[in-house]
Amino acid sequence: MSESRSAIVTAATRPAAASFGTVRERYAAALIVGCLAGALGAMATYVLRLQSLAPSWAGDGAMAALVLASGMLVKLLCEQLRTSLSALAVATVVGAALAFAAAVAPYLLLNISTLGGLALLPVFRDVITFLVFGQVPLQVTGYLMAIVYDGATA
Amino acid sequence: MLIAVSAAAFVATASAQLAWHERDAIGIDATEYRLDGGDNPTVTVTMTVSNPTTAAVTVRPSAVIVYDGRVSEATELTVPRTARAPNGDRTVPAGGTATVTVVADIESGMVDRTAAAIESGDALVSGTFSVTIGERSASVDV
Repeated sequence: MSESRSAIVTAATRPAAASFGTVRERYAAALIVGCLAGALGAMATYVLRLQSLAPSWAGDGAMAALVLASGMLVKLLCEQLRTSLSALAVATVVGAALAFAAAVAPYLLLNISTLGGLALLPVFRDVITFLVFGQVPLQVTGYLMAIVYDGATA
Repeated sequence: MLIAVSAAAFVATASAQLAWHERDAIGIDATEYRLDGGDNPTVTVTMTVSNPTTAAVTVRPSAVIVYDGRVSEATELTVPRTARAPNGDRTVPAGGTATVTVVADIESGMVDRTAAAIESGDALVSGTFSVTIGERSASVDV
């Protein structure tokens, strides 16, 4: 098994250990955990943004808790501080990319005209608002809560 | 577990959003007319609602009028704003069809003309149905 593949396997199966490992393992752990947390946060924030279309069991409280949990997962899965900070950065970038992709997807899937992107501006405004005031703050808060938890249980 | 819950909520919401964008594809057609005479004559229209979208929709008549041959004020057979669904709102599953019964009042003097229109096949329905997906509502033309 090559060194890169070994690092990915270690990061995927034991991210906490990988976060203290070699440089490759730390990068792999930050990428895998960051993508996971970013996807989790982006999906829950999407449901938060479209609450009027969400199923009744996916209320705003439950979805906000999921975004918070995605931030906590970053620190709980990547225990090493620097690796977890990298993972949080990855989660933020991946989460933002997925949020914009999910906003544009219906228009592309259904071939709806966006007047050269003009019709998407209000949607992008909502996406940015939920990113700045929802997804990122909640993930950072969850991350900080996990640091406190780590410290209290150390 | 968290990913599964989040993904399930995401898929359900995304399906509802796609359905919301596709709501104009919902088809509402009259399939049968029945005249009920008596002191308070009414017309009962059986309507088939087809929902080709990716989410369940709830429909109810909001402004439906039965006309004689063509849509104009002179050919109105039923009294405006009297159309109602005696069985209440109807939920049509994604990709499914359902039948909605609409009852509307007619004035006593219009009974014969209404009977003739139904007999000759000239009776037609026009108006709007209220379509609800999740907590969002919109009107769809009949």
